[in-house]
Amino acid sequence: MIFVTVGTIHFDDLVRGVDKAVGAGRIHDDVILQIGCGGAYLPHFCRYIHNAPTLEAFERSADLVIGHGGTGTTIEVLQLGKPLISVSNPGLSDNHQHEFLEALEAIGLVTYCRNIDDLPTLIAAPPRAMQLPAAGSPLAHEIAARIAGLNHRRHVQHPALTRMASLLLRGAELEVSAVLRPVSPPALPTELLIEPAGHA
Amino acid sequence: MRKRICVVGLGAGGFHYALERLIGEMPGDFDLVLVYAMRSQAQHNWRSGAPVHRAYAVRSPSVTGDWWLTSMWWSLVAFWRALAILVTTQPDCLLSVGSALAVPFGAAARVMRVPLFFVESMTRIKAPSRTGRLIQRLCLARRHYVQWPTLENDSGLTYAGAVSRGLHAVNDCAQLQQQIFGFERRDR
Repeated sequence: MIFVTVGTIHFDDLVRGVDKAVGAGRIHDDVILQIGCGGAYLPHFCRYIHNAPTLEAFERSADLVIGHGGTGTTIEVLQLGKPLISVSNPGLSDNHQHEFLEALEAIGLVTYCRNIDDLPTLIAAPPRAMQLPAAGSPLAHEIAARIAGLNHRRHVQHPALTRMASLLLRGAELEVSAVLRPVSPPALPTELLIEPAGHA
Repeated sequence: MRKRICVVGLGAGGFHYALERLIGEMPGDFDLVLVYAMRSQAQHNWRSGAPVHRAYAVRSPSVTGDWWLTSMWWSLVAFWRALAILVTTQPDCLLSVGSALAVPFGAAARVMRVPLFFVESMTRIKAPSRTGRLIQRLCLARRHYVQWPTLENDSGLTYAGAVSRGLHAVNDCAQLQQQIFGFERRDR
């Protein structure tokens, strides 16, 4: 299975390119597309989802992941040890993913697809899977050390100030239980999958 | 006493993932206040062992396609909401990776004298993002980290490795730096 993800923002060119290549028989594998929100193109030949709380289950099940060059997807897929082809989304600010993918391509971590028409050729000869270590960030330890050195600064709150704050935050508070998800790897959320428009 | 960290800018792909990784790997005893940048993404997607005190959703001042006046308006809204969150939850510090929400929250944190730790996005290799430049220019962050040594400079941008260890090794790869940037990391 090939899993194609565009991240939180839509990337119609990639979705259309893969879908048409599947329709034209240039890609023979089972393809699942994650198409994000706000895009105008809906797939005609591939099953798809818009978004999911986490895409990890799809990435785990895939033999090959085609990503949009986002850092979350890129690092997560590399840590799962799955082969990754990345296409940058030029619509994002400064086209910054191009720079990021060029850097990762230079050291062989990803295959950078600069032209969506080349995707079927790259899929036919999939890249070697690379694996990054799952843990051990020196940056996390540096920040934790800085935070540990801070003085505690909790004060008694003034009731009027607290009332004003709760007025300003009306509608902004979320249920904590609604944002937490289990630490164990999630199961494939097949209920989110939508059949393609051209499906008989 | 347990430290409280206000985590700013969750919900949007890479920033969320990076924050989850950072918090997941930070040693120490702390609880969290989560601030999401997009409400639609704030459903069952935070996975870290640290206890969560409260969670909020604040609209990001910079959403793709926004007109500059719209961004200004939402920056103001985010600033007032940030003040209210800081008053209500009284965190010891703020932590953000890349998110535009860090600007109004950083300004509110300056008013409330709460330190902000800001980490530049991993995709920024040659120049900081617009958010990063604003935070640097307005001196909003107590520490401003970058994830590539090419961005480290004497005016406050600190390189202390990347969010992911594998990429930390990659970032230190002198061959890569010479290949792409014609740059050789100086010894510190």
